[in-house]
Amino acid sequence: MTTLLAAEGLCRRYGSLVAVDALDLRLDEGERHAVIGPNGAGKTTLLDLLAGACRPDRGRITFAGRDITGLGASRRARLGIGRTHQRPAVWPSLTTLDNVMLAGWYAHRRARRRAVAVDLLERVGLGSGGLGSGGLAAAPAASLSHGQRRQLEIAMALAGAPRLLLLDEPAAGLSAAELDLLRDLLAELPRTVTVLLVEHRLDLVFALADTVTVLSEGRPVDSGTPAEITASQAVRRVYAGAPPAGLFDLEAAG
Amino acid sequence: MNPASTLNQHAGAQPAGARHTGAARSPGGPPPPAAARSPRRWAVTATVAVALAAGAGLAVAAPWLVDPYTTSLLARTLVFGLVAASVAVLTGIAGLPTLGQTAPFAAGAYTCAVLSLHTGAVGVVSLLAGAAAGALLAALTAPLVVYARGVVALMITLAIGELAVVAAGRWKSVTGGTDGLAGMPSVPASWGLPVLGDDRARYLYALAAVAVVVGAVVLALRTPAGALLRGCRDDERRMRASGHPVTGYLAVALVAAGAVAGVAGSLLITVQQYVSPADFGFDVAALLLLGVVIGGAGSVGGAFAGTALVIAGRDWLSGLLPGHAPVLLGGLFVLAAYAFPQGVAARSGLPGLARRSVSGGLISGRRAGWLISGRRAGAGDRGRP
Repeated sequence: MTTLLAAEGLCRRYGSLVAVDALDLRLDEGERHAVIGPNGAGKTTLLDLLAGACRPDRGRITFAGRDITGLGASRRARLGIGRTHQRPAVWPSLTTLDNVMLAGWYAHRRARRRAVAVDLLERVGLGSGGLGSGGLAAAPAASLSHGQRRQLEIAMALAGAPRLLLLDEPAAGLSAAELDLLRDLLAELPRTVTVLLVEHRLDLVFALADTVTVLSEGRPVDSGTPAEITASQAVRRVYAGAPPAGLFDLEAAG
Repeated sequence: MNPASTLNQHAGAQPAGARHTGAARSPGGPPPPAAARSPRRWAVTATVAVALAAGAGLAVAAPWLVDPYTTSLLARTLVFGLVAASVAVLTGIAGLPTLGQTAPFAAGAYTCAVLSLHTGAVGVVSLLAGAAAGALLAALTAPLVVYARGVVALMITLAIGELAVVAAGRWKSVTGGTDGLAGMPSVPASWGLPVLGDDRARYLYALAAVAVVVGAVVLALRTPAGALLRGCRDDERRMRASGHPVTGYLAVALVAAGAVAGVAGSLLITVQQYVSPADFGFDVAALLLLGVVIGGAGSVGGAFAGTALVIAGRDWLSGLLPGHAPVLLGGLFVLAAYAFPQGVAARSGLPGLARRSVSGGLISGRRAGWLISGRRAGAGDRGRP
């Protein structure tokens, strides 16, 4: 497998707080890589660093063989790094459909943008035939619920035809039905899309991920397959006292 | 159902806004089915069409209804309304609050004044020269502005506007200093047309030019370019995350708004035949922003109407209560901010004006937040690179 993205020695501090500390990360083409860890472990900062929303104090990021450390967020997005945000970021005054079409501006030719957007809205459950009632596409994004905005932002990230998709807690705040839809959507993504998933919902993580990295205080504590991670003593220590639901009873449940 | 989209639908026959109002007024729920909306939409369409036609008729007939002095005041009001439209594009649509549109306005005015004095250029040449001068000045100042947001942008643009006034006052060989320039000849609108010899003709010329430019701006904002600017205002992070170079877009918007203000500068010379730094002072910049806020910053038409009202109100009040007009306008500002948080246009239910105001008013709670804190609505804490 070829390496799509490699981060070496990434450091990022906020004042005296070290959010990400000499972190190395390698993503293979087509891999589903999950990052878990307690709150404040630096997961979102890691995504911001990879997407170019903030610059590392030290370290180097290469994407598809190219050094992108000095590139801004919009350049990286045009190179094929798509992302969602922890708090869904959409354009509230534009219609749901326009949101997806504008997000696909650089990835699709004008004539195709609309068809791509309609299809994506259908796939995330905001189309006329999905969970959402008809007409959501024409409604301003301001009228969407939190969960629907999250779904919308995933459609927007996909509209950019990313080679690497960075998802920041895509399941947070979703209803059970929306969660099922999300799981199916991510499971059906072609392997031409590499996924880096930051998520607290471990059922989703273990259902999708090939590799799980556990982050604590800005450093990877352990990395391995889901089975290795559930068995890891180091991971138990990180989560000592407050293990997220599902981490250690997964084996028991089978 | 056919999803509505400003990206595919440019200037349709449908009136601005009729499409969105149903959904926008019921946040949290899906919009009512199209069938239920149609009769109301048609009623609204008809009302708006009648109102617009009546307004247009009144605007054209005005110089025959009032005395020449009032006509010249109305012409001036149109000119400031056009500058306000450029302020609205930046403040309400692109989310870049500005006090500095007086600078390209002044650049256009002085360029056209000098041009007129030396060559007697006809109206269209003057308009193009004004647009070029305004755009050039905006392009020169763009690097200072496009990286700033919120209050910082206000301060920087305020400084640019003030510098323009100081330059106009000091550069006596070109601008005539604080005395200004006078004696610009009356010119025809174009070759082969009669000279704009009286206030009525100058008013109609300004009305036509303003209608064309405001119409062009409104149409431009209905294309994807308008959606891109609203995207910058709504959530800049998301724009970048989708590959959009936000500062580049803002620079283009700034230059375009500069050209519009430059056109207004050219019109100022035509209708006033006189120019001095007093036309571009801080009070003018503040009045423009006040008018835009009252009209609803997200709506170019609303901003135009709001500013026209404020300028007309100032001229009327200054006759009624000499010296107290600023106090009354200050009171009006506070009243407007409380009573019409999204602009008068939004409250009046005039969808043609309200459409962009629904989420675009400057002083709605959220907007006030970003205007004051420098953050943009929903943009989190990293508004800039």
